[in-house]
Amino acid sequence: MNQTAMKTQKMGKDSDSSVLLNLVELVTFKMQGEDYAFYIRYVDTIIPVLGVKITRVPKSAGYIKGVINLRGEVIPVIDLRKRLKFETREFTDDARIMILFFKEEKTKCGILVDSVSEVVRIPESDVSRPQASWAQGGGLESSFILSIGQRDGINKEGEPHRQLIIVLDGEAIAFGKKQG
Amino acid sequence: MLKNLCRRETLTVTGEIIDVIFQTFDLLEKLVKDAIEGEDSVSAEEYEEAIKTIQAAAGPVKDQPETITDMSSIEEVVEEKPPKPEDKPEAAKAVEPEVKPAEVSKEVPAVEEKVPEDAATPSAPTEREVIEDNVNMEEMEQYMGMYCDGANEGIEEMNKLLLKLEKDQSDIGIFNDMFRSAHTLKGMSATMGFNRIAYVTHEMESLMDKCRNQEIELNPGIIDAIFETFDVLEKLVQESIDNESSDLDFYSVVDRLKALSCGDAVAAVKEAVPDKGPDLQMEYNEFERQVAIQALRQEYHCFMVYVRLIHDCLLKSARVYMVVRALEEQECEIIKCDPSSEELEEEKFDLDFRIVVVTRAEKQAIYDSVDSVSEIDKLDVTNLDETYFTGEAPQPQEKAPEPAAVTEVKSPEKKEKKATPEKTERKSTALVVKKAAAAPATKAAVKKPVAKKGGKKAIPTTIRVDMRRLEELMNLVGELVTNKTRLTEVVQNERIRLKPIKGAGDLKELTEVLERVNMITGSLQEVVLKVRMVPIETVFDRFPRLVRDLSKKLSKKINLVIEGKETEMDRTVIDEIGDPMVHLIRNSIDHGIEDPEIRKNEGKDETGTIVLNAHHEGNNVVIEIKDDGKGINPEVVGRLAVERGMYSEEEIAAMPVSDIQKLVFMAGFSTADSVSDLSGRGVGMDAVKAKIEELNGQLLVDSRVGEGTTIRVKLPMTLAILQALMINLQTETYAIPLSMVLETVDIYLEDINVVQHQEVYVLRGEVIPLIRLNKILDVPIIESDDSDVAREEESEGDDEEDTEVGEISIVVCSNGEKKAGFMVDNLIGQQEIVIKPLGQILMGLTGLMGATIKGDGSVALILDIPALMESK
Repeated sequence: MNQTAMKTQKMGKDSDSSVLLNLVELVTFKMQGEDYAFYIRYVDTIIPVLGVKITRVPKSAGYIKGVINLRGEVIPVIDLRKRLKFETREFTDDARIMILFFKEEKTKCGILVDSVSEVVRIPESDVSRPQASWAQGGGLESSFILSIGQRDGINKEGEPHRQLIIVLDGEAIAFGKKQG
Repeated sequence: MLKNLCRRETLTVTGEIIDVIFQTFDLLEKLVKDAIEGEDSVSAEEYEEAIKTIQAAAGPVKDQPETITDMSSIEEVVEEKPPKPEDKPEAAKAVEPEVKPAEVSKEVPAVEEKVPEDAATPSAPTEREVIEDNVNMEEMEQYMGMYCDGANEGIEEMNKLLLKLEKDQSDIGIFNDMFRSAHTLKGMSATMGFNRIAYVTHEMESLMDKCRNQEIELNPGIIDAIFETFDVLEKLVQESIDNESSDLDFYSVVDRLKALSCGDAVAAVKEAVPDKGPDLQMEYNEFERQVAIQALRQEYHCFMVYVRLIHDCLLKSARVYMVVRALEEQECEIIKCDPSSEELEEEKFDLDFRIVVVTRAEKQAIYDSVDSVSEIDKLDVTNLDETYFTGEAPQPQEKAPEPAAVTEVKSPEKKEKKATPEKTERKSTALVVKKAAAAPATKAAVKKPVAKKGGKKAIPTTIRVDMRRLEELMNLVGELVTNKTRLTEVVQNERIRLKPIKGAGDLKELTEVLERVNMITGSLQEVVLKVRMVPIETVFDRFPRLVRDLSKKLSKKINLVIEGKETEMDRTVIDEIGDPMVHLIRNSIDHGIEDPEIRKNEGKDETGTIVLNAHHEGNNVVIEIKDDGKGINPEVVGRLAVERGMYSEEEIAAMPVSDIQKLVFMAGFSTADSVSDLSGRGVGMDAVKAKIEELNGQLLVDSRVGEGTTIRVKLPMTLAILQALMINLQTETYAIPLSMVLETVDIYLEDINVVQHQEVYVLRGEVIPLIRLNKILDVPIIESDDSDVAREEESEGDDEEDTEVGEISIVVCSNGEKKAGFMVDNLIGQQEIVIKPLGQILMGLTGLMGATIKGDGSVALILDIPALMESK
């Protein structure tokens, strides 16, 4: 994991203070206004969808948007909206293709998202496994969710609030593998 | 440190310096002993101190004028020595320059073993083992690639030559060439430290040399033995490459070689081992002699223990170990073994060996102790006194008085020792053996410079390049071509845009440059492709040997004819087709060609013929395997298919003969009544078919009962680049491999007929089923008026096919068996495309075999025509 060890005093929570804290780095992006993320270690490149020619692949799964040419490599692109069974909508100019690289499989895969936000670092302790009931309530296939991150942010009204980031399992999305 | 020193010494050693090394070890031993006495364990500092002393001791070695610091100069020096006839044995020994370092490295640990016999030094044993490994692998790693290529090539070359020789036994000259290859292999292996290979090759060389000098008559037995040796060598080389060592039994082969090179008489002698006592004579170096003399003076006894194992002893080295253990139990200290302890460990000896020990134990005690070991045929313990060591004992004549000569002999001496048992036991043939050992070596010395020169000449003409680098180059060129095409398009568009504007002629220059770039990239691509092309020879060359072995095994007479082996194919394809081809040829021999008697009865030539032919057919390479055997009997195949529950009897009855014959390529099918180890397990042919299809190739069978079978394998010339027909379906572009395309025809839509819900077109009297690619690939229909294509397709969506008017292009494709017409919207043209894999995520999609990048940088998919034809 791409974690940075930092000696920080852990605040708030019930565990011991003065623990060696691990930070996880996430690349966050928006889908239907919600915050999602991939671990940064999976993310190879991010390219704007504008101007990229996506070739439709017949007979492929519905969520496969097509294939693109990325510096001479042919890479499949997954329409994350379709993959997560969100409502289909035309992509705007903000849409990006996040190219994920899976080292073990030596495979690259593009994920088409609404827009990419930023890279955030949050303590590992603020990332937890999703509760089963939560996932069901959200209507999201729980196998795609790796974990839920939390951080302090500011909502639309400019008030501080606890922001939830859904960390997605890139492998499950690309290969349809069950996590675990 | 210690091992580093040893290694360095191994590299710098000449025969002369070995003595100094012995002394060095002597010194080391002393230091270690001192250390032990002083403390319980040896600390690192003390080791270092010891080593410093050794280095100091080694220092003078370097100062000696004859000291040689690298291998090549060893060779030079040795080669400079003219092999005079009178000192033949000596020259013989001096002449194994490449072997020497290996031999020496062997010797070093052997000597060292004696050092900490007082095994209280805990670190010593581990360090000892490391020595050899390091010499072999760590330093040699970088040469491995070169070595394995060279070695395999050498073996292949020898195989070829031997086959030639077998056909024309009078041409003894071929042995010369073979000899050269063998010698090179031996040299390389020894340099790398692969002593097993060097050893086997050496024995083979001896035999070859005798044949060459016509000392023994060439007979099939010898040829078989040499072939077998090649096999063993190949395995050994593979093992060396994989850095494994198995207990591959190469001794049996060596024994056979030895027996043959001594003539048959020897084999007989070997059977009834002469009951001869041990030969007391042995060569000792100064160190060993000193140890023995010192021991004797301190009232130790010195014995020579002679052991001969029973004839069919299975684990000789284990017996040796037990003998040594037994001796150690009697607190014997081994000062010398013959053959060397290394050789004993590796079972490089016949049946007998001698060990010289110093001990306080009595002779009888030692005898009893060793006698308790089973599988010993003969045991003899001889007391040795001081006079034996002080030189009263007759010294071998090699040990000439001048120190130079003595040392010169030193390291090759080990070689000679190997031969010693033979000398003593097979008295009658001893002379011959010696001569045999000497002769090839002398010749080799003469040969060597010649071979070297040849090698040097070859360097500028060919170089070996890592496949991956070529692959990289290929990708880059592909990229370049893509971008060049794009550039052309951009310029084209610019020109159109600028046309109405005045002074647009400026682009002319740009166009000219672009054309040049075009040309250059074109040639560049061609060259890169050519670089990857290899003549199919490399695959075909394996077959004469295969056919020979198989026909012998099955006692069939087969003549293999090879045609067109210069046909070139991409390396990637060549690498893949070897195994399928072997399967096919095996099959022809096993199931196709009949036994000679049957052939005779049927009025055929007793000798069956298999013709292997390769030739270009457009952008494909066609390989034909044609035999004049019994052919595939549809009745037998049909019956078996029914028996195996693959088809019902009715289905078989309705099948055309050619279809039944094709069943042999189905999984789990075998027509062999008896399962031989060659074929007939029912896995071969379906695997072949799968492999060839994986390579984007086709497999066709044409068989006539009683006349023979022809199998045609049609393969693309390369896997990286494909000749394709680019087509449009609406706005999408697809590529169809040109190898599948028979022709393209424009037809009128009203000429399309419907037979049993299948659209067909009658092309020159042949009914061809039509496939609408738009439909099968779910191409979205774009409603627009300005496109001819779209207009034609408009009505299609309404399912009113009959009302369609106008023309449409069809691409007639064949998968080798069936034809089909694919309806496309627009033909773009023929193009060379670079195949890119679709990757794991999209794997297993039917109808697509890959993707390619178009000139504009977008991706076009390559259609898998056979799959589309079946999926319909």
